[in-house]
Amino acid sequence: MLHIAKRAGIPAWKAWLIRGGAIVLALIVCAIVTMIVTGLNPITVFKTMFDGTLGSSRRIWITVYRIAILLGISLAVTPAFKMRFWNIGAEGQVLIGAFAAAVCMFYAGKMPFFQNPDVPLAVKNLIVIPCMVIASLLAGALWGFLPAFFKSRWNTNETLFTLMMNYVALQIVKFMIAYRDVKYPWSSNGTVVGIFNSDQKLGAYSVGWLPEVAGTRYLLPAAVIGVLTVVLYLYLKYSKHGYEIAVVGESERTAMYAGIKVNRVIVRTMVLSGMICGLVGCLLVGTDRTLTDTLVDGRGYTAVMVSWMSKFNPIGMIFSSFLLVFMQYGAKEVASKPELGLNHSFADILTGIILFFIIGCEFFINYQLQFSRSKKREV
Amino acid sequence: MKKFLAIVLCLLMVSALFACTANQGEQQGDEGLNIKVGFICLHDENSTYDLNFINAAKAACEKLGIKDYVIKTNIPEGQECYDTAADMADNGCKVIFADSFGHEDYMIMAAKEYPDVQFCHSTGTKAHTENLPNYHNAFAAIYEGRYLAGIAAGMKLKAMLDEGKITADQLKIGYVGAFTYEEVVSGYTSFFLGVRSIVPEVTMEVTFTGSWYDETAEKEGAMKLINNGCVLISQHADSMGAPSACESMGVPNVSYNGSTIKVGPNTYIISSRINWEPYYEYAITAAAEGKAIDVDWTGTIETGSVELTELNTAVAADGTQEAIDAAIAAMKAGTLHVFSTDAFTVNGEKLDSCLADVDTDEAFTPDTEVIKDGYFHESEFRSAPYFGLRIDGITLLNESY
Repeated sequence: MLHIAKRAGIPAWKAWLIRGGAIVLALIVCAIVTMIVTGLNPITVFKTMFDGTLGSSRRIWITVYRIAILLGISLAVTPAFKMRFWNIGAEGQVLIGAFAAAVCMFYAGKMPFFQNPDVPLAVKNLIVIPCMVIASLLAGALWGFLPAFFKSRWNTNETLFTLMMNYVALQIVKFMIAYRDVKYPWSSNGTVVGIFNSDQKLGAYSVGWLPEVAGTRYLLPAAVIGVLTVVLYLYLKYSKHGYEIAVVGESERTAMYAGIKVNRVIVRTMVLSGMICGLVGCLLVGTDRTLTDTLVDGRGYTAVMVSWMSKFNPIGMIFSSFLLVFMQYGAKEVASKPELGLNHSFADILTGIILFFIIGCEFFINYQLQFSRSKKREV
Repeated sequence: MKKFLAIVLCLLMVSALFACTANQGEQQGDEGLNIKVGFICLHDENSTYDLNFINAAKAACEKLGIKDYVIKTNIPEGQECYDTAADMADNGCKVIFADSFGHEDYMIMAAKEYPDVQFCHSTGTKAHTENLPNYHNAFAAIYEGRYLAGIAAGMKLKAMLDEGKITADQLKIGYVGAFTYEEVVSGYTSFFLGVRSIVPEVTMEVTFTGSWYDETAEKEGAMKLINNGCVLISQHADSMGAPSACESMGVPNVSYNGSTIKVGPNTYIISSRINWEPYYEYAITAAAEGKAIDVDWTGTIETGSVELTELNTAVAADGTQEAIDAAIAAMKAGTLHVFSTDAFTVNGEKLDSCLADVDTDEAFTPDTEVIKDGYFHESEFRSAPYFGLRIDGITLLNESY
């Protein structure tokens, strides 16, 4: 006989052992599925995934950058989740932040001051980049503030509200890209902007591009997110704000009884979430040097999963982000090899299997299976 | 419980080991070109636009005996395109193709970094101004295909008139376009001129959806045109929206990007499409042999790049194939020019001069005289279309895109 009981507690090492076991198990199931369905050697498939994400220094940098962005968005949604405020608007908050940064970059490139080749690039960037950062922080903050304000004032549903705000941001970006402004059109065919300030013949060349550090443009965003991870970890764990967030999350009534102004905490935390998202948007635009409606590419939603998988622990999120990025882009590599004969859908199946195990293993961390031994004794 | 888990784990590991021994023999052919090729696609096989490229890529590689190639799908028109192109170059690709307009800036960026690698970009406009020896644009003279498809549409209209299904004052056709950009303008104008070469009284209404792929908007656009009294529909967008709307309303449809006869067995007439295989073969062969690739390559009917697919004889009028063949012969002989200035007027006047925006710049400044010898020279000064004239006889219902 078998029955399920809730665990009172579990040591951290045991929990991680279960998680590690789940990944191993997931890989084995993936291997079996690969073999049965495609007849391919699963090792080849895994090797291809490894090769695709970590196979060269360029690939490693790109992977680091992707992890950083996903991690940044996951950090952003975490305070609100900890408060049990279901913010699924990170997608829109990042996008609107990106949009604000792009506006600064685009229109700066049209101004005579920035087109003047005699002004050094460093001076121009010292003006434009802070403007981009501030603009995207403000835009993200606004996108976070609105649903929180409505929630605290009229108790609107934050899940729907934040979701809808995603579409508003998306449509604003789409509109600007397609809009054929007579003087300064954003795009030449209604679908793409191209690289901002990319004409080497013009004085505004490379204005607003985030600087390359140590020969790669990916180091700076990764470093910013790295610092942010530590700061947010400390903020959530040791600051008064962090404590208030935790209390509000546990029970709003307790928080009220303890004299915490719940509405203020909600609004403050969502503004913070929005600002971090906005900053990530700024990093995306500054590094990618363009704006597209697929810039965020669903990572605002993936971040929700990352945050949950790591139990809102910023350090744990580094691992979850790595895993998801590895799976997603490793899968892309698998799909790109015609000799494997697989397309993107198969790679998605593998990702699905692995996620299933990882999320499923939380069950074994919270509950335990008990095999009743009493029967044996009776015999 | 632990024991149970351990046993399961062991079993699975053993079976996985067995799995590994079932090795797949990789065959490496000796014949064929010894060159590695990369293809970058905006979406995957689910998009008709990208499928057209993917099929051409596979066919070209097979024909040339190339085993070592990669196709990366779902590459957005952003930084990722550069990353992918550079990564392909890192991994030994000597020719790299990209299929979407928005990939251009990123391909140029990669081309500057890897001078030994050839970067070929379909539908782009900047190769002739960038002056990079290893960056190339390609397109096809698809306006000729559109014109021929227009002839099929014109024959159908004429047959409908003769049969008394419509009267002469009902001679109005409709067109669902994506954006008001030159590629689309060039497409619907050449289609219209093809129709008008058969039925001179015809007029056309055009509506735009603001998206290259939006099934609902394309369907609604086609419905709106049909309700406005259009008796035949064609489209330039990538979904099945317009063909399926036509089928449900019983209105004849001239398609694009390949046959849509499955969706519209009772209404589909013919479709024009670009076949990229000849270009891929040409560029890969040239790169392998160390020959220069054209800065701007324009595929034509002769190169096999402009194709008409599957004439649906159940819907098309009798004599359609003959009329098309005659037009092709005239094009080859140089006696028929689609954009002959005798065939159209702008604001009631025949044109003898026109400056087009051939060299891309931010303000879309017209820079090149494109009317010579009595016709508009489309796709000659660069491969991508630049015919942007609004000719008489065509009404645009909305111009917001």
